[in-house]
Amino acid sequence: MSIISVGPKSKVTTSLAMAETVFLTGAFIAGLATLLYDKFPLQQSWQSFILSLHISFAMLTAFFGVALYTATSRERRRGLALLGMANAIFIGIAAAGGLLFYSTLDYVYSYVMALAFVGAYVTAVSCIFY
Amino acid sequence: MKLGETVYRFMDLVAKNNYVTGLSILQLLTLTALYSAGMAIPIFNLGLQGSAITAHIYGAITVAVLSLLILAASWRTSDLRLRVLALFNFLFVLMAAFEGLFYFGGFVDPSYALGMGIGFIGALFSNSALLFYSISH
Repeated sequence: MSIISVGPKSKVTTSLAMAETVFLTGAFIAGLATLLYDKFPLQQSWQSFILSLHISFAMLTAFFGVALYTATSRERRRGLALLGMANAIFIGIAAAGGLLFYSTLDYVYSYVMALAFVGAYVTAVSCIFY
Repeated sequence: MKLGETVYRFMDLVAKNNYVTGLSILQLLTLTALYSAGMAIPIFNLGLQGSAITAHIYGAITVAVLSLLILAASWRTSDLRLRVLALFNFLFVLMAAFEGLFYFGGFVDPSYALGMGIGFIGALFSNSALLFYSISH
């Protein structure tokens, strides 16, 4: 299978994937704290601090996701290119879900965001180790 | 490629590194299932009884058993990175299990649920790492 061929791998991809994983982990922990401690609509300033932390990590994740996509698309291994693209798509779905939840306060969208996160996380970690 | 050949190639992949690849695939699927069930509980305010928590607990038990099997399998390879990742996997699953059990057992403080979530993310990280490392090495 040409997807699972082993060959040279750029250090840029590995570094970007490591940064992406750190940001995704931070976004998850901040998001979980938001879910457990915040009550929507927000009334207290410490609640919005937790949410801002999550949004900051999420935005960093989005930017580095685009960077990871460009780095992996230049790789010789097709598997890495697929993983980078899948990472970007999952992040997009999660972002859409989160934004829709924030505007409508319908919890189904936050569930979509939570599920899409797992896909983004697995693909990002795989770009480090594949 | 013929179907038979594809199946054989897939089975060769699953058996790589003393079956760490195959076990990691199983653990990833179970982690996704338990995460879906577990996240539905606070998001939809389902409460700690019913089908969601039951599915979550069964998934968690499966993940715990699998992490021990992965640790055993990876120890029989002589690859240090596999062993370290499998050890982290086991320790994070242990952390998630303890924190979650304290939360479920009565210490209804959100910090225990947060600890369970951190254990989950560690387990997911090490599991994905194990899977893709053992596929490509």
